[in-house]
Amino acid sequence: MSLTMGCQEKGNLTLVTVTGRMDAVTAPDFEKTCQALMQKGKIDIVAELSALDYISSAGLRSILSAAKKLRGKGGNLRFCGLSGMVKEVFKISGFQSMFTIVENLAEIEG
Amino acid sequence: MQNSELKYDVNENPPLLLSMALALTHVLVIFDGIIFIPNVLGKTLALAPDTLQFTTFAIILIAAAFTYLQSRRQFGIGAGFILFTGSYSAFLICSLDAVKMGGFGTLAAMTLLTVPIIFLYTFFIRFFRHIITPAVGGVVILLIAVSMVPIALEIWAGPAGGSKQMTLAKLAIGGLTALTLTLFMLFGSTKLKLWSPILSLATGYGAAFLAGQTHFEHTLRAPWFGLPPMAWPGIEFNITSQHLPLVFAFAMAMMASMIENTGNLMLVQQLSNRDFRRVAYNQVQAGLYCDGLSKIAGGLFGTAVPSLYCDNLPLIHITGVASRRIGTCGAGILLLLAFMPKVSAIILDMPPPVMGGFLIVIVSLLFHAGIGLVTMNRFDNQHGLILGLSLTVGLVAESGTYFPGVVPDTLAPVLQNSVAIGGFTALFLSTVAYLTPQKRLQGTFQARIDELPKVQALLEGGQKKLAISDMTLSRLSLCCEEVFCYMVGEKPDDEECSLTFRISKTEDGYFTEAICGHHMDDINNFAMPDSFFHARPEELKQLGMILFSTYARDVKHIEISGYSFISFLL
Repeated sequence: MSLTMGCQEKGNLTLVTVTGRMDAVTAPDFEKTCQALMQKGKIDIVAELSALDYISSAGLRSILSAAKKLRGKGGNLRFCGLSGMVKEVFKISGFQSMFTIVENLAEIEG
Repeated sequence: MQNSELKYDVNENPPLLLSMALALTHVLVIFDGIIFIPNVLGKTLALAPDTLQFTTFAIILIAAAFTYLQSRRQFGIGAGFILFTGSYSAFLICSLDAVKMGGFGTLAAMTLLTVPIIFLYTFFIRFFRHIITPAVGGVVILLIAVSMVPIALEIWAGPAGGSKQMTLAKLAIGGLTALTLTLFMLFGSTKLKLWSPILSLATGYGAAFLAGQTHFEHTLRAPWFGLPPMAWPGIEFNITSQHLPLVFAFAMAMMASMIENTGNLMLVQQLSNRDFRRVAYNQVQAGLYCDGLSKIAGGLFGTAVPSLYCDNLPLIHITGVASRRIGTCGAGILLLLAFMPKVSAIILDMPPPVMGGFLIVIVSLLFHAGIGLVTMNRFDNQHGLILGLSLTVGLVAESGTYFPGVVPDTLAPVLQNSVAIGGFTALFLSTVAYLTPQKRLQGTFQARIDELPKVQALLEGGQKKLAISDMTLSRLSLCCEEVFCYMVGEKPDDEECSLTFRISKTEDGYFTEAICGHHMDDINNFAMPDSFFHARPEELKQLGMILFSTYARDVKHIEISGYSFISFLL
């Protein structure tokens, strides 16, 4: 299964819906998507991960790289909709405490 | 396993004086064994003095040379630990038969004909990694300990028929030696433990002197320096079908030797490294190759077949000194002993109760070490049964009360040797367990990241076959990806490699093994960076190992013959 990303503007936020698997082969696509958004001036990104079935360390490194670049430009990367194994991996790696993670987008918009 | 009590581990060098003193202690324990077979052959077959002197000289010389080689690691020969070489009791009966049949030339021929077994086993040892495990090595060590108990007691008590007073004196001498050593080990400071073997032997000697049990007949007779007559027996080349039973007997003894030495080489690693994590099979191989060469040397010299000893290995634990310098010094002492019969005689004149009491403590430490090897890895029902049965069979052989008269003479080296028969039983049962058909997934992939989807496809395709739940499949997929990426990351850039994954369902969970044909750093050797945000790229790679280590258990990483094997349970 591959990785697909859909982008949607929500006011000042850009919602990136991530679907599929983020592994060593597909993980670079996430960083490229965030990079493309940054080049368009979209630096406040929320990644919606409810449809993400799987994430490995390669996915985490891709997220970290994107987050560093965003913060360097004064932006932010936040997450919502984590579940199952993806939530578990975020917790084990300590990413849960490094990033803002909410249950759903409404919490961020509110 | 932490050997925090090690004062000097294998790579460190204690002062020379201390090294010589400790090396002498090791030699004192095993010197009798080194010349055991030539002595017995000489007494049993009433050999000509020239022949006996030459074979004794030759075995001490070989012991010196190969003890030195074992302490080094030159060109992949020698394990690099304290490992003494000398004549091996499993070859006693077949050596007697060979010499009766055609003299030492026949003994030489039989040794040289059967020594390829050692090299073949060693070369293909990676195929035996699931069969020749540390647990099997541990059973071998336990059986060695069991077989040594009656020997130690016999040495302690001496021949039957003495007066009650003499028996009490022997009991007291041996008891005092054993008690001194035990007390030093339990309650002594690090420095006291270092010198405890010498102190306990000195205590025993003192007690023996007071009881009038010391004698120096060998010492008084022997010259200070001497070369034996060069009575080389030659090699018998005229081998006929009549030699076949003898060849078979020697082959059995060679296999007994290779099993026991595999256990010894695993044990010495466990004892000699401060931070012992896994058995390094490449060092087992190097040690076995060196042992094979020592057997060739034994054949060419026409002397007893040599092998490795473990009797002295507990001294490493007692003294806390595992430095390979001890082995080198020990080799030097043996070389001296070869050319100084009087010094050899002083050792031979050691009061037997002193040695017997000392050996009893050594044996107890071998039990401790054997149990350590057995329990090093997972201990499920199947493993427990295999090891229990092997130990039982070995104990039955040791007792000698199993259908006497039924055992064919040609199988005697194995069936009357508790270590050999117990070891063979462990090998046989491990092989049966390994070869038993089981549901398994297997795939071979190029060592490139773009091959990762094929690994995923293998797992998804086998989900139903192995009855893997969705959550377990995700975790298994993650673990396999992290191992795959780790192996690809460690691959030399200019090499084309392939990786093989094998996944099977066991009673303990899902057992996965990944194999690739290049060396890599220990997968268990990683550390979490303080902050991922400020971590360097090479530190970020640890993320994979952190996730992997959270889900995978019983992770093992072994290297054999240039292949890396990483296995884990989920």
